Amino acid sequence: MRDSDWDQLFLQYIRKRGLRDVEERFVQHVRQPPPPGDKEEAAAVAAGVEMASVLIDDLVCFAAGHEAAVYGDAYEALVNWVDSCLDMYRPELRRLLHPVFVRLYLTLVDMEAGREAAALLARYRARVLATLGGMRRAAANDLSQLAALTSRSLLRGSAFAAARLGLGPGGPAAAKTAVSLSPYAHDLLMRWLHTGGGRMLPLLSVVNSCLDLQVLEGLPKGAPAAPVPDDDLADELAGGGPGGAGGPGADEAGADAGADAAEANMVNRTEIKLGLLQGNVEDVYREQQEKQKAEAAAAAAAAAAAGEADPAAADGQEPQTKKAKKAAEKAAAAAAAAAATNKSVVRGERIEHPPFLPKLPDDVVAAALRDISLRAPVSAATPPSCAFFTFVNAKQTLNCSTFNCDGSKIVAGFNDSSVRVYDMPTISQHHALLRRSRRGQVPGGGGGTNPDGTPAPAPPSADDLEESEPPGTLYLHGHTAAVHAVDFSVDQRLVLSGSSDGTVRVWGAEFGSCLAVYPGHVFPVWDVAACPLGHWFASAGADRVARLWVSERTQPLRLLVGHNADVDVVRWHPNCCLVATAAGQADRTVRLWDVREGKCVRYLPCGRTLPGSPTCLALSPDGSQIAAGSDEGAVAVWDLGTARRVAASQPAAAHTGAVWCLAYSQGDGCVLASGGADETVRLWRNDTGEALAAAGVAAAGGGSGADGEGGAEGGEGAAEGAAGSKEGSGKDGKGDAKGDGKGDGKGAKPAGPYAQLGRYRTKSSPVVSLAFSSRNLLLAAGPFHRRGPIT
Amino acid sequence: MSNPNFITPGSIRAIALSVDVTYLTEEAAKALAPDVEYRLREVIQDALKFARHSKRTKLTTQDINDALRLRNIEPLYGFLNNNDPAKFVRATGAPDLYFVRDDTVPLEQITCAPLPKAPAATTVMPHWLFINGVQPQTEENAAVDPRPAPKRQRLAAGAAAAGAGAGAGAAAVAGQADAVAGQKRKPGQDGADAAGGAAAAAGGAPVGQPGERVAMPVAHILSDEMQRLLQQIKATLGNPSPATLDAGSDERGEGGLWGCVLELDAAERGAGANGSGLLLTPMQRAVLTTVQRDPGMQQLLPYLTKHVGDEVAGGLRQLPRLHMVLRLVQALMLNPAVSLEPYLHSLMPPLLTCLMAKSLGNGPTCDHWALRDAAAAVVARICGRFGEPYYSLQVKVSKQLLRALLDGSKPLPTHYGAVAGLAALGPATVRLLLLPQLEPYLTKLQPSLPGGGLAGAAAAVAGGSVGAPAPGAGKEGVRQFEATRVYGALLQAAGSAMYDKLMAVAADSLPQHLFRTAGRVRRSLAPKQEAEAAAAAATPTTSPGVKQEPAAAGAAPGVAAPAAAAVVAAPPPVANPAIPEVVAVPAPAPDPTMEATWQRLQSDPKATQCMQVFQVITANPGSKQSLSLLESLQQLTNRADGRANSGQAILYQLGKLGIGPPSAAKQYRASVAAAAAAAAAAAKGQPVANGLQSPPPAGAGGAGSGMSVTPPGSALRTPGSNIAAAGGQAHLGKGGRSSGAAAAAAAGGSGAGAAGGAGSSEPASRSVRAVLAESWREDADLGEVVGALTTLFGPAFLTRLPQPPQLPIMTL
Repeated sequence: MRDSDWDQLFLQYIRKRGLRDVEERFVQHVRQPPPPGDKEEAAAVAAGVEMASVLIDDLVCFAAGHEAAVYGDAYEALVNWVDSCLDMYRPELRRLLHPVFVRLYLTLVDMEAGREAAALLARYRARVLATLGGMRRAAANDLSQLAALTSRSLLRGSAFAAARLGLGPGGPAAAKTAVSLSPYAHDLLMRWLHTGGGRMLPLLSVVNSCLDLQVLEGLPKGAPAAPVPDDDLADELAGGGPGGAGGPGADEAGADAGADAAEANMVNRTEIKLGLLQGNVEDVYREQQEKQKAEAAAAAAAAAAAGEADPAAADGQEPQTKKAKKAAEKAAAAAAAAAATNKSVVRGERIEHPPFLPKLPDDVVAAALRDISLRAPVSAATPPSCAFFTFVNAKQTLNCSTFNCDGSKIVAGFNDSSVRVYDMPTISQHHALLRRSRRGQVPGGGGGTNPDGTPAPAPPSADDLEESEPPGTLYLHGHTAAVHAVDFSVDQRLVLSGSSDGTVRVWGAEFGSCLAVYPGHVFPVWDVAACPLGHWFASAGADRVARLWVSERTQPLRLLVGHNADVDVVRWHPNCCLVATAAGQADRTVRLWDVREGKCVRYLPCGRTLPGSPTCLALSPDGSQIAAGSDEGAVAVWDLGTARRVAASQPAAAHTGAVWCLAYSQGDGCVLASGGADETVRLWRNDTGEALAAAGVAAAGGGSGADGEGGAEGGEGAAEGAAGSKEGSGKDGKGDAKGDGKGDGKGAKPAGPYAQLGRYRTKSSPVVSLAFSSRNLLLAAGPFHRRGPIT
Repeated sequence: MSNPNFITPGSIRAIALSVDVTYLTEEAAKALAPDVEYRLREVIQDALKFARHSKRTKLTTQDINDALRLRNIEPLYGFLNNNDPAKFVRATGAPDLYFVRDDTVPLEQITCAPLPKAPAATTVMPHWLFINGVQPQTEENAAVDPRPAPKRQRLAAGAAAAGAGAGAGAAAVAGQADAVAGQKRKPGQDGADAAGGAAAAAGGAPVGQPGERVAMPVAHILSDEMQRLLQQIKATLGNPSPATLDAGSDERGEGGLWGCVLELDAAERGAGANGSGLLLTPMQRAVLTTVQRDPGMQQLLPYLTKHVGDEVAGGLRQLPRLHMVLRLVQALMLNPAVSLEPYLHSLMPPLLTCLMAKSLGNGPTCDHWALRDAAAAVVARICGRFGEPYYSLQVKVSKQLLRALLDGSKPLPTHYGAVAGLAALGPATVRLLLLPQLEPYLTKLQPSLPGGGLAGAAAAVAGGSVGAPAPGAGKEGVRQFEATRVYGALLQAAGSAMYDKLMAVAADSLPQHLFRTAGRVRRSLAPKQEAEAAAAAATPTTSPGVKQEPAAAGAAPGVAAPAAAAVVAAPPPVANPAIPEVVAVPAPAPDPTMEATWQRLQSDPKATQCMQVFQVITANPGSKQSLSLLESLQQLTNRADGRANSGQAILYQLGKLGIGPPSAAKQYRASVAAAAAAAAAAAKGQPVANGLQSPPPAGAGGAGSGMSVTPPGSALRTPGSNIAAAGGQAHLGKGGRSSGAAAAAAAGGSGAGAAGGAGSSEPASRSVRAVLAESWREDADLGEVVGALTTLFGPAFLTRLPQPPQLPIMTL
């Protein structure tokens, strides 16, 4: 290279660095390049300059290596890159962030760039808390140590920093953190670091100095040697499993360890009110019952007293009257005591009805009260009945479905972007007609006569009926892509649907027309849930955000941000002040959000207790527990108050495919039902709910007789659409007996919480949705498909 | 570290070539490959999300397109038709490379194609999955049954599913109708009655996976058609109309249909089964054909089984009904679409009743024997067919039969049925179970036999007087007749078993074994015959019988010696040292006709061949060629045409020279040795039987025709008497015992006359019982067994065995 070239290079370097004074001086001394003699030479010079400019960029970056801002930017770039990486490899890559951060921070401090270091630390902490809801104790410890190191002098004196910087006794090798990566993740990282060019040089040097990358063959999940941080976190937060004896103590220890550790678990330490709302339907019903009972007791007592008093009066003996009076008093006291215990049965605190939530309409309340009075008791001893609704001819296009409160209507979302509402009574009638016409055809052409002798109207032939569109189906067209979620509003008059076209639509179930479009999501909407009180609804989607809406605005009121991956499920807490969401893949957490503030109040990592990504959620009716099912067939239950895992399904009892749906029984939530891709419905007993129910029953005394009677009725009433109802009722007696025996047998066997009650196989239908009707009939639906190739 | 990337620069270059980018630098390919891979992974990741949120476990092309749309990429057209999944073809030479065959489709074909049928509308079918925690066994619910359904049923169910046009939908639609399960569901399905019938049996719905069965909602529902068919079957088969029987005489020959249905030689039994339901009206024939062919019979099986039971229970006095029942069972068994297994337990008792009932038909005079025989055949057939999966079936049946046989309190018809049943179960069963019990049983049976002995029974059996009871009418006569039948059945069973065994041995071409056997037989037989001949000579008026046997045996020492000496002396051996022993025969008696024939042959120019043969043989009688020529000559004599004469003449001339067929020579040698031994024994004054213990040296050479019942004397005679003997044998083989006896008498003490005397004198060192007890063993000495059986049954038994003309042919 000629001297002039060097001059040019230097000049450009000075320009890049922005040293204007130097540049001015230097320009005067610069040797002008000789005029290009010929074209070839010019081209060569141009090529040289081109190459040199790249070199200059790198030089600039290298020089800037001593500038603090570059480090911060590089770290941001790394974080962003990791967050946008393939879901599959993101957990692995995320493990790089902490060591890199520590090293960067120390480097910054070493450069005496305290301000930048503090900014980096603050950002990191905020990010960790926002996205992970907490951190490992070791990480929290690191942070607290780092926060104390603010200057180079402190750094020199700190053993912690020395170890991290490779100045300690172990030498540079000891400072390296071992991180195992799958081959492809490693490939991705290396390519990203190299394609970044000079800007990545500082990061590259940090990575090289602080990370010991171990490449393990196989898929990311097949690396048991290196637990994902989430797992550790999960275990820590879970407090050692359902036994939980050491849990509180450990937490205390954590709190003692330092403020940061406490802060790490801060999310789960948030005070939340899990109680039901005041004046909820259950309470109203119970109060009514109590009132009636008290009146009845009082009347009975009065009658008894009067009855005893009368003969006494006839005899005219004083002692008798006294005795009668005493008896009356005793009866009154007993009634009062019963009332008192009943009041204590109203367990948990009740929270005030928040002003932003609407009151339930009167007709809905009346219907709910009636349903409660007819509700069948469901528990391990009295397992529920299940009506299964098979979607035929769905041809793999059924995405989701849900039931209204009595199972008479089913709304389903399809891959062909349609939402369909099926009216079961009409469809059952049609099927009955079909059957009759078929049967009539067999003996002799069908032309029978009615019992009264008049010729019966010729029934339409079976072929015609089969060919024709079956009645009772309402098509709701409007979405432009597959519909992935549907829900009924509480008054059953509105249907919500979320589609992968990124919109949520509200339909009038009666008119069959779209009422409103909520185009808030950018990416597909994976789930929608209507608030149990109406007016509000929540949606979750592939943009990693869950949104809260009120039906009268087309803009969301709250964004629930924090999940690291697609938010797959969203469910309302029974008290409507909380919303639960779950995200899978790279996130694998279940979170609870406060509706009012829109912030995360519970962070429940799946960890090892719930292998796979969560696919469905169910909140117990009393609002204290949350159950989640995963795409690997596991079911886990957490207690929301303590954020502790209550139970997890044993692998032997778990589903063999993904769990698509979960549902708690109405009332006490004694039974949890799960359905999945392995074409089974499974029932799990909820012991805590049962204990409460048992207490309730014991206290309530004789109130259950009417309930039981009403239950059977309720079951029938809810399934009046079901064609098999006749048969079902015919078998009721036998079923009862068997069920009792089975229940007792299971009850005698000591089993953990949420022991499996039963497993019921469908013929060939994965169970896509499950719900307990308001009278506690289990409703399940799934598409029938023959095994074998997709047709 | 292996390359984690699936897309290599090589793939990129190949793809570039496929889209007509001919020049792609290595660097560009290297830079593109990881990027392409990353994009692909992104798309697949998103597609999986779509599949998961559609609650599917399969990735579809729609998911891929959704993922592409999510990233604002144009979807891939042409893969959306899920009904026609893309066919991936493996590239030859590359194990992991697949491609989609993308055929060129003419536009015309698409535009002219008729519009596809609109898919059936999606709808919802409700049913109870479980009730109070208990799953009802309806057809909508998959029952968990660890036992896989029978394959045929599965296939039929699959066919039903395929036939149910609308596939899954229709199946579920049908599944919805609880009570319609057995009814026909689709008009199209009626044609495939096979599928319909079996599908209804299988619950009328596709069986999803092996190991799962669909339970019937109710016990069993029979469609109207099937009910009608059942009525028809019952009506037609239940009442054989008398008109049939009247018109039956000329239909007797029309067993053609039943040739396959009922493998009983009805024609042969026709005489005995006079109008006993063996004759069929065309209607009955058609019905039975239906039962035999219709694949839907499985559904009727429970009813037909019950019908069988009822018919047998109610028709014990009506043989035609029972015959019809047997035919029905046989037809069911022949139906390939019917699996009888579940109903065997209810089918066997009626069949065994038919086989072993105390009395069948109207009184003892009717021919219930044919029915028992037929039942035995059916039972044996069932045992043979289902013996594989139900190995205890035959064991149980044979045990029951044996128990009935050994139970002395059971009537004789029952015994007959038991024997027939055991015989039908095959020779192995007979040898294993029946033979060891023969001796005690026959001893018990003897008093009942007509004539008071086995010989009488043999005569009765041989005389063909099976059609009616013996003349001695009344109870005793019936009993005698029945005992005769039992005896005949035993004889038949033992004979056929031994026949089978001997034929098997012969067919296995184990001549040494056979020879050894035959040698012993000869050893045991010859002296007896000699003794018997002597006895007969001594007391010609005494009818041969077991009871006289001791007397005969006792008389033997006295008279045997001269008789034996006479026999031995009669054919003077030709002392010609030039003739090898193999072909040495005594000179035949002078016969003018033979001489004349010989003269003619010598003068006949056309007969030069004969003369050549003669010369060849005389030139070297012991050579192999001569032996074979002699043997063929011997066989030639059996022919019925003119050449037999020539052959006889040649043999005659050869005989004059002392040369004869090897077989005849062997017989001669054996007889000589035996006679010598007998003579020696007689001379020593010992019992004849003991003579056996001095082994005749010549007998060790073995005898090709050792099983011959022909007395040696006849073989030693001229070819002419040879013919006579052969004729006698042929006659005997047909069972014409009386005429056989006549022929034997003509042959001079041959045939039955001699053999009949082979009584129950101790034939061997081992007792009959011991020999028979071991007869089931594979290595049992057949000769001993045959001897023992002959001892038991008398000479009639020997007629059941392979005849001499057959064995030499086989052993040669």
